Amino acid sequence: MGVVCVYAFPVPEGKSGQQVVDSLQKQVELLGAVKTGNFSVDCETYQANTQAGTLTTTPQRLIHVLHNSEQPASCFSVLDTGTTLIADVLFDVLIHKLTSGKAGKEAFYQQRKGSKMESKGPRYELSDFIIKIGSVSMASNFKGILVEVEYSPCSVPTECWNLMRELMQSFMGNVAETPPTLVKNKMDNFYLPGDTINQYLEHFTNFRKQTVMGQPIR
Amino acid sequence: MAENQTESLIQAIRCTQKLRASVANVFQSLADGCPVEKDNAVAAIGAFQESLLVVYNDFSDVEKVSSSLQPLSSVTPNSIYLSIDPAIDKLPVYQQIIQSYKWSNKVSDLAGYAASVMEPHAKSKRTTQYSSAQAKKVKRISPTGHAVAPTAVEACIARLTQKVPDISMKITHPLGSHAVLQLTLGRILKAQLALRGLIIERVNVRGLTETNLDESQMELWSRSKYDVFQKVTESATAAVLHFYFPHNAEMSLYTFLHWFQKFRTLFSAPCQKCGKHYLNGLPPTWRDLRSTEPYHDVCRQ
Amino acid sequence: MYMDQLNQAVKGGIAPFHEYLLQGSIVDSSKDVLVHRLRGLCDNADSNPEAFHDHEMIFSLKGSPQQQPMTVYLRHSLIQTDCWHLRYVGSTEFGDKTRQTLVRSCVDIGVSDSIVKFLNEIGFKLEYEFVAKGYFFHKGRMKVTVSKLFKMNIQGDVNNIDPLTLSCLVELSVVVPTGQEQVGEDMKNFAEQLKPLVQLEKVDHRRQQQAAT
Repeated sequence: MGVVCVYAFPVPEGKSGQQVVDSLQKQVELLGAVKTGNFSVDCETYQANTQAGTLTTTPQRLIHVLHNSEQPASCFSVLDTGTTLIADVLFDVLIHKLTSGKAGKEAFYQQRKGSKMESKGPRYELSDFIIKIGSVSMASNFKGILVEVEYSPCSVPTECWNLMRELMQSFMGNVAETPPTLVKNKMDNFYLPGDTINQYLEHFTNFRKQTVMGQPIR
Repeated sequence: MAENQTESLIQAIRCTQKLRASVANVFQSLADGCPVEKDNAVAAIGAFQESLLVVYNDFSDVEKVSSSLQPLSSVTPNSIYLSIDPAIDKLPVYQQIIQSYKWSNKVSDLAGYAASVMEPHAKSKRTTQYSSAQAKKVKRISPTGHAVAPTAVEACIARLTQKVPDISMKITHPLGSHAVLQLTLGRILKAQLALRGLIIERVNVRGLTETNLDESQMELWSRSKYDVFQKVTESATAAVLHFYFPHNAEMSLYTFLHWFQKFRTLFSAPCQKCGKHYLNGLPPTWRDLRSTEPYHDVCRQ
Repeated sequence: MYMDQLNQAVKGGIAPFHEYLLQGSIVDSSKDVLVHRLRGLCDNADSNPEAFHDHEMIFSLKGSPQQQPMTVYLRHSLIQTDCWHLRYVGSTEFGDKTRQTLVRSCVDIGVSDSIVKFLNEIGFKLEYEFVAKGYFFHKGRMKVTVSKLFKMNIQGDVNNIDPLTLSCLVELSVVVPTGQEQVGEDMKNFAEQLKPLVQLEKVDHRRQQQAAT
């Protein structure tokens, strides 16, 4: 597992998301990257079932369930308290049990309406770098662009940050001036798959907030 | 203890034989009978009495010896235990059977290999002897670095560990006596050095997180999946050849390790020529052999 | 996307799996004999039997009366301390006399060490816990465990333990996708070979609970 940086790439006024994605792809291909397929990161949010009457027993927690095509056998669950659980993909079955009532009984948790978010797009490899250009959608509406760059041979951000920055700035410009906050907070530690998921969740939450405030990024 | 026992047993048997002889003697003389004349009657009775006395003495000898013997039960042979039924479940039968099965299988396999290897040699024996005798005439001091005792290798590695503090070393012996060094360089990379004596035979560099199920053997042969470590492996192999001193193996090992520890900055040091970190998807993967400064592969000329 | 695949899998009977189970017990003094026989019968007879030393915690989520309580079993290996295993067991089908074993649906999930915190935060409460020590064998897809159960004197302290009984729990189980009834037959045959040391039977837990109350 290498170090991963995820950046939100701004869409300038008067340009469509697709145009920006296309130009990014062209730049990455010019650097010599080879397309190796597609990727997707998806996120579903659940909240406590408020219709079930007594609320004292079930705490008011949000459960974000995420999947990353880079770790296809895993299921990531993040609580709003920050607790991150990494489990086999079968954990979905358990979530399914938690969220579906049976035999006339109510479920403990329910899906938040229209909360499903996804970032998907092409995946490129450039030597040991993996570059992913994702278009973010929420309930099939375009929300923005997330660019993910991974340097797989190295697991400690301090060691390879300068190397990564040189590559990232060559096609993203000033967007990649500093490491993402989450990476910055643990520059000297080993980077783990759960950190990538938390970076994505942070971006998803930001996109969602912008929607709530009525300022779509387009 | 056991010897005493056998000695007294032999003695007892001897005494018993003596007793039987003397008893047989008495009955023999009784059976034969003897012509009794008036004057020798007393002498004949005396002779008979004497032979009875011998029997009596022999008998008391046997009794004496037999009392010194231990009771019968403790000297009974192991065979009597056959009658006691063994609890098969309590004996490690399964494991022993499997062990011996595997062992005999292995022996037959190895014998097969040995036979196929030795067959051609049996024919060419004479010619090889001849050529080696010829080779001896050319006098040359042959390198000795490969013929070093394992203890000397370990002592040498222990010395080097102190001289090269950045590298943590672990000695393993996956294939018999020759050592394979497992090197870990900070949080950057792992490397395996196959040694023959103290001569470096092969070096393979892999990522810190690249693991194999088989601890030591496989890592030596499987290439890293990352381009950067494949490049470093190439550089290191070139350096092994550069630092080879045929008559001072420890020196060549030391100079190699000294050079190799500079890869601690593999991802973080910029190239000395172009001043950048990134070029064609790779960091500077070459370290100059003299100055140990980092260069990109294409920048070093 | 994943949810769709998963729903398909659930409908198609691939997940959750079904566990076929037989249980029995053996007194401590005869345990070695059983272990020995199992070594002979099961795969990998030449290596030492695999020992385990686990801490099992049972969590359940109870909401209002309109909500069906939910229970999960969490096992934490005390030998390989980064191994955490979460298990959800569905309702048990005891079946009639023709069925050889107990059958229940189950979901086995490997999880990371943050699981206890995670369960607590979404509302699960610790019901009870115990420590299990023993040996694990397998023959093909059949799994046999011989385990000694210990009660914990202080909550959360896995070192301060006392044995629960003077015997060991023996379990024979197979986990397969739905609709492989043949498994029950295989298990019965295997259980037959362990007689008279241990009598493996399908145990009706509900009846036992009723008898206890």
